[in-house]
Amino acid sequence: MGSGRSKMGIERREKLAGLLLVSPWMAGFLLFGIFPMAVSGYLTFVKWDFLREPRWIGLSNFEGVFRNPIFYTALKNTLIITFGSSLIYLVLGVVIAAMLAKDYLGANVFRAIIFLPSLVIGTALASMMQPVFGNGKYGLLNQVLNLLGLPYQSWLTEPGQAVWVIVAMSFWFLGSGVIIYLAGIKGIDPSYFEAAMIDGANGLQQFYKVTIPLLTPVLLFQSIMGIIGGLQVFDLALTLASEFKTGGMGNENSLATLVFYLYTLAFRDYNMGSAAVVGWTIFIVSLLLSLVIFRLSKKFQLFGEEESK
Amino acid sequence: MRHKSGLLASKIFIFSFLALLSFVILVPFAYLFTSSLKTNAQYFKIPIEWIPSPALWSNYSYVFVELKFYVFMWNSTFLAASSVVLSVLSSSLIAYGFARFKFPFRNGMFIIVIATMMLPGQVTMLPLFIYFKSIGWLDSYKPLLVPQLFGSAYLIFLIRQFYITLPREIDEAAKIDGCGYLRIWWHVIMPQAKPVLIVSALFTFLGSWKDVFGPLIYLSDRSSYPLAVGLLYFTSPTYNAYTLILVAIVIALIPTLLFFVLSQKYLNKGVNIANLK
Repeated sequence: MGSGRSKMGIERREKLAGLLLVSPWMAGFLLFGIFPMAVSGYLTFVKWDFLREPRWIGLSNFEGVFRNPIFYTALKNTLIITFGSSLIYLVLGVVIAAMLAKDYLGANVFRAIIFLPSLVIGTALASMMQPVFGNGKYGLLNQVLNLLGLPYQSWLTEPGQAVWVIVAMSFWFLGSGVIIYLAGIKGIDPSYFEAAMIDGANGLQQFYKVTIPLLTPVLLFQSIMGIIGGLQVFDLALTLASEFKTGGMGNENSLATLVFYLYTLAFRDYNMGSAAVVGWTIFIVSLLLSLVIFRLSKKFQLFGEEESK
Repeated sequence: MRHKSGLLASKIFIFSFLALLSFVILVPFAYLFTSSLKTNAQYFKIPIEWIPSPALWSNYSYVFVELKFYVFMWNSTFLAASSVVLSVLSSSLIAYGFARFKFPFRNGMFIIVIATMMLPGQVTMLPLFIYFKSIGWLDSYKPLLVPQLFGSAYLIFLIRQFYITLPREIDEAAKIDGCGYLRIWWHVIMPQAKPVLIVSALFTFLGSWKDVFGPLIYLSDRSSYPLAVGLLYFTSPTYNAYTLILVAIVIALIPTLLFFVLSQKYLNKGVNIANLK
């Protein structure tokens, strides 16, 4: 009897201790998650500039944002950056990781060179790229083009081109993904590769039939993180745009991204309602894209399993 | 025989591919560095002088000391180090709760932890700004640091995954010896979890070091800016000595190198932990 009661006591104590330990997270989730999200929902329906009282205006904010061509420029640019950079991260990243995993001559040096730039502050990297892509005929890339007898390009000022400079910058951030894939590949049981080799599979076939299927969970997680990161691109665009004296989002908003637009609406135009609408757009787009990836990965995984049977 | 020559060909192909990629990655860095040692007149010269003569090393001391670039560096270091302490300690304690205790809705709550990891912060950004503004926290580091006390979803997830792999026998024994839960966490669990804690610290440090949006909206006094935002101020068009901006960028890169050297030892281990998912 006595021991039974004390066991109950211990269980209750454990329950209480567990709840207490995770309570900071719960408090944080309410304070910095749920509550601001509700407020942010409310903000989409009001007009507010910090000075006067918020005023209820119904759906006008949505109308204002969704009828504004800048929003669509920002959306288009964000999607270009997201898909462009995700493609580079995933496809090129896995290929490079597979190459480095072979441990051929210089693999350690190459690994360090590819990984290092991914640690660099975004604003520093974008500032560094400014004299490469910009600066008219003094720019590094334009001088290279000149040597090859090709005409100068205004990469940063030509509307529709600046966004590709941001995509190109993903080459310098590749390393963070490569290092994760590399660890994943090295963690694969070597007997899989040996079996494939005995079956006569060459390097490329091993890559398709062994490396990729076994890396699926890692690829899935990385692609979701890549997409969320892509949708949030801000510092690179802000840095490149700061070269223009206008204080805007690049020439004809060519450097606008959704987060940059949100920032401009909220902290340059003091239009909290419209900024909140853009915030929710980012939220919903990333939710949708994540769901699509989950669906796709399920299909691929099923396919792999059936094949192995 | 044919197989061997094929292997050699693929070796050569892989080597050339990686060498070319590395070259492309390195060229802008080299260009930045050589340009940072020039005057404006030397810089705006065609063709490029890859080894500048004379090399203006004084550019560096001028930017670092005279233009007070060290202030940004100190601010970044302070913010990142504080974030590491706050975030890693709180997340580790919360992860201990999730890993070792049974309580109602535990699994449901843990799923929410994972879900919040995947949500972009922009939805909550504006209300938080309004919130911190209304309690007078703008122009201080509080909005950047205080939320870290409540744990970070990513770290909670990472650390909890590691904790559940630790043997329970040792903490059971400690419990029988009359050790309290907090002491078990500090003296038994934490020492065993060093690898994951170091990796968490590296991630947090890097995240804080690179953050632009937070400092940009919460801070308006330039002398309190961290490096990532201070650099933007340096590239602003009011400044006309162009190569000095390049010097600032190089200085901003140096801590990255240090970080890289320090992290090498733990990196592979950490990545393996991150792959546990």
